[in-house]
Parts: sequence; C-alpha cells; structure tokens
Amino acid sequence: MMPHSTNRFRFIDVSRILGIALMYYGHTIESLMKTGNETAAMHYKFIYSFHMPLFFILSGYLASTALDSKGWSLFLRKQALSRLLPYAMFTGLLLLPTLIFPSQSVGLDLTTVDGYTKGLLATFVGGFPMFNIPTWFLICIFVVELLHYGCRRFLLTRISTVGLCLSIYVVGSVSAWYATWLNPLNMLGPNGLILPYFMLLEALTGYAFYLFGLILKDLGFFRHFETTVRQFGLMFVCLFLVVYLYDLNQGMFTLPTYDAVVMAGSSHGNPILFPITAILGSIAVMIAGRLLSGSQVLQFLGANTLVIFALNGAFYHFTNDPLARWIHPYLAADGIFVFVYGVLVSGLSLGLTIPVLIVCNRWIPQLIGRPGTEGPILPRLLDNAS
Amino acid sequence: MVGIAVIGVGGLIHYNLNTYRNQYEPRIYTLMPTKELVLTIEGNPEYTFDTALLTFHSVGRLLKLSPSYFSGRYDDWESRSDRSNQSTTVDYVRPVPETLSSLGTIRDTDTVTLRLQRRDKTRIAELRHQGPYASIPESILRLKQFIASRDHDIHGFYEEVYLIFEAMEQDPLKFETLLRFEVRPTSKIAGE
Repeated sequence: MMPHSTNRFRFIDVSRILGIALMYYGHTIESLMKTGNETAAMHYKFIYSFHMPLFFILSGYLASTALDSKGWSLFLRKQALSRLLPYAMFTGLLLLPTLIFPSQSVGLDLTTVDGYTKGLLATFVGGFPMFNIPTWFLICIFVVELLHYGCRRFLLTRISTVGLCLSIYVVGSVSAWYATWLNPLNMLGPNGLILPYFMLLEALTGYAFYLFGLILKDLGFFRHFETTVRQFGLMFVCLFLVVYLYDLNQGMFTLPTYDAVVMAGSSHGNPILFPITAILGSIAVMIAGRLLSGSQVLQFLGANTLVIFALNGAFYHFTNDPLARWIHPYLAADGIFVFVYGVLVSGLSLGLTIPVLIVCNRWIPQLIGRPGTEGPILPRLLDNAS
Repeated sequence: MVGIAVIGVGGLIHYNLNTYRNQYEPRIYTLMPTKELVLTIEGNPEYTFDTALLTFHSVGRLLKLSPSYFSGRYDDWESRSDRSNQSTTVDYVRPVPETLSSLGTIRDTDTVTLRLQRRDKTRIAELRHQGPYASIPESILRLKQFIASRDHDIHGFYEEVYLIFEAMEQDPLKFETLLRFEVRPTSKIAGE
C-alpha cells in the first residue's frame, strides 16, 4: 500500500515536496551555472539561501521532545534502517552506471581502481556520498536525530529549547569557519585523507534549524495564519525579504568559487544573514505547503520524498551537466529563459522518478525508509511496535 | 558483518597511508572549469609577486571575495626560470564565483591589467613542492620525467600555486608550492 499523509501534518509533506522541487531546480541550475551562465548563478544563490535549512526545519517540526522509553539501541537501529540503509541502497544504485559513464562523478577518477576505492571509503567510512552527492542530507539528519536523542532530556522548557538552538547555532557557525579539519570536503582533494567525518560539522547547524522547527510547532506559529489572505500575505512578505536579502550575504564563504550557501560544504557566509534568509524562505515554503495541502498529487509525492530526493543524484551526476553544456550556446543569460529551462528540466526529472518510486514502494519498501513494512521480497526489518 | 568491518578498516588504513606517503609524488589529473580573476603584470617576478598579493587583497575586499589560494601562470617554464629576464609577463590568477560578472569601478593601473576569464577543463601534471623557490628546478625535472613516463606531453602553461609562502611562513624550507604543467596524452599529438 502506498503511504499517504495524515491530516495533521499534511502541509509538512506538501512543503517537503515543494522543497524537493526547489532542490531539483537548484541542481539543474547549478550545472548551467558551471557553464558560465551568470543569471543561473544568481538563481542558484537564491534557492540555496534557504532550501536545505527548510528540510531540517520540517524534520524538527515533526520531532518530539518526549523521552523515548524504548532505549538507545532500538532507536539507533530504527534510525539506521530508515536513514543509512536507503543511503547505502541509493549509493549502490548510482554506482552501477559509473561503470559505463566513469567521467560523471564529482572529484573521482573512476577510470582507476583507486578512484572506486576512494569513492567507496569516502561514502561508507567518511560518511560523504561521493556517488550520490544529494544524499549527504540522509547522513546529516541521522546525526542530527542522534544529537536530538541525546539532548532532548534537556529541552524541558521553551527557554531551554531556544537557548540550545541559539548556542548550537553559534557553535556550528564558528566551527564551520575554524574547524575546517572536520569538513568532509577535505576528502575530495587529490591528497585528501579519508576520515569518519559523517557530516558532524554541518549537523550542528542542521540541529539548530531542527530545533527552530520544534520551536515553530511549540509556538503554534501557523495558527496565527489560518485565513488564505493572511497566508498569502505572510508568504509574499517572506519571499520579498528573501529576494531583498539573499544577495546581501557576500560571505565570507569557505568555498571560494561558490558565492552562495552550500550546506554540504559547511559554507554559510554571513552568520546573521544566513539564518534570516533561511528561516524566511522556509516559512514561505511552509505557507505555500499549507495553501496547497489539498492537492492529492502533492500529498502523494510528499509522503514519498525519500526516493525522489535520493534519485536526484542520477540527474545530478549523469544528465544535468551534459544537458547544460548542450543548451548553453543557445540559452541567453536572461532570467526568464533560465527559469523556463530550469523548470522544464527539473519538472521532467522529477516526473521520471515516479515510476521508480512506485516500483520501490511496491517491492522493496524496507530499503527506502520504511523498515517496518512487510514486502513481497524482504520481510519486515523492524517490528512495528518499536 | 565483522568481515565487512575488517575489510573497511583495512582498506581505510591502506588508502590513507598510501595517500600520505604519496602526497609529494607527481600526478596527472583534470581540473574542473572555473571563472578566474587574472592580473597580468610585467616585471621581475621577485617583485610582481608582491604586487599581485597586494592587488588580490585590495580587489578581494572591494569585490567581497571569499579567501582563496592564488597562482602565477607563465607561458612556459623557461620564461619562469630565466632569471636574466627582468621583465617577464606573468598572469596571477585566483578563482572567483560565477556570480561575479564585472570588476565594477576597479581599473587597470600602469603595471597591472585585470580581467575575468573562464578556464576550461584542463588536464594537468602536478607536483607538490616543499622548500624554497630556489630548489624548484629540481622538482620541475622530476615532474617532466614523470610526464614523459606517463605518455603525456607538455602542451600549454606552467603554473605555480602558492599554498604556503613568505607572507605566511618565515622559514623557506616550509614553503609549499604546487607546480603544474598543462599536458595532453602523447597519443593525441600523434593522431593529429
């Protein structure tokens, strides 16, 4: 049976798929940016100013502060099966095409055995998915959830949650700039050593956004915006502010060639403007999610985001770059053309994932984040009670 | 499970030891395309280096560029090594983001010409040189031998990427410089 949204958090699922659509758009545009299209670079900077923090905020919105009575090992097993197992599966899935198209993987020379050794070690020991870059989020959210498991006994009051959120943001920001030895991108260089980074550096900032989501829910923030007029009003105000603010974030970024927030590389730029644009943009998407929460199609896609999310790697690694190189001479650096190209390519890519999503849901639900489901091939990996 | 863990840890140790041991060995690989800020300066490289350093610092502040390494790019190694020539033209280069579309109000000076350009995908041979600049020729000889042994040919620029240099480190023995030649496979030349 296909999973679908429950009424209570239907808008979260819809917001999630809207965020994923933004991610597809961002990755399509990134390839165009790499061909030298300056307009695409501005679109990229705009999307990246908030789209990844959105996923952390949405996860936090669904998080609980109640203490878990089931114990550490069960929790770890559940999270590993629903985060790390799909990470491993989608890495395996995208590793196979590299045997035919070896030149398409980032930072790896896959014409040699050394290249594969480095890629596999970085993926499974370093915790950075070299064969499927977008899935870094699965590792990061896994670490964030472990942090939350450890910290939630201290989140007894709203003040303590806000306090932890602010302090961990400061620690995350300072570490992102000064603790570069913890940055998993160190592995990408020709002399990069493989160490168990596991996105720990970015998990600190991610956890701050996660706690912000928790605070939003605790405050009942969206209850103040129940009418459509208020929702549209808030969404446009937030979007206007993001448009106004995103390019004011001029760094300093830790990646010199990316003048934009890149959470995968812990490059945030200005530590004050970054969270402001991230929060405003995320609220705008969440409001859009509320406005569109009646859509059955979006609900269906929103309840199956893990597969759509992870399959973005296929386009990121194999089709976006060649397509961008092909279209580049014909595409003017005009905002509308770039936007239409981005929407068409990302929409098509997203549509192509739906058959795979249906097959995965039907045959191997245990491997795509639902370990407690009985399937036709594999048994349930986790007792539902746990 | 234990077997997989043993293979994983064994592979990790082996890979890291190998990488650590080979960090000063030459290699051939491909640089990804990027946008660059280029300062063309004519003069004695002993002095133009300082001019480039100061200019990058000032321009970086004006354009709000994030910190980055920079390099000196020459037409060929000979133009770098010829100390009798007091007026070598050098392109000092640093990567910049794609969003940087113009240099704004920054203008050329009598000695420095600035421009933005794109560097395409480039195949290079590279060696990490540790020590003073005076010992670079020995490393160049080693790099050239390596290029020939890998059936490649020098075809294009010679570049020095300054990782650790005098502005950061007093002791020349601790300087680190990446030495690069643009190369292409010999078979490609024969096929032309």
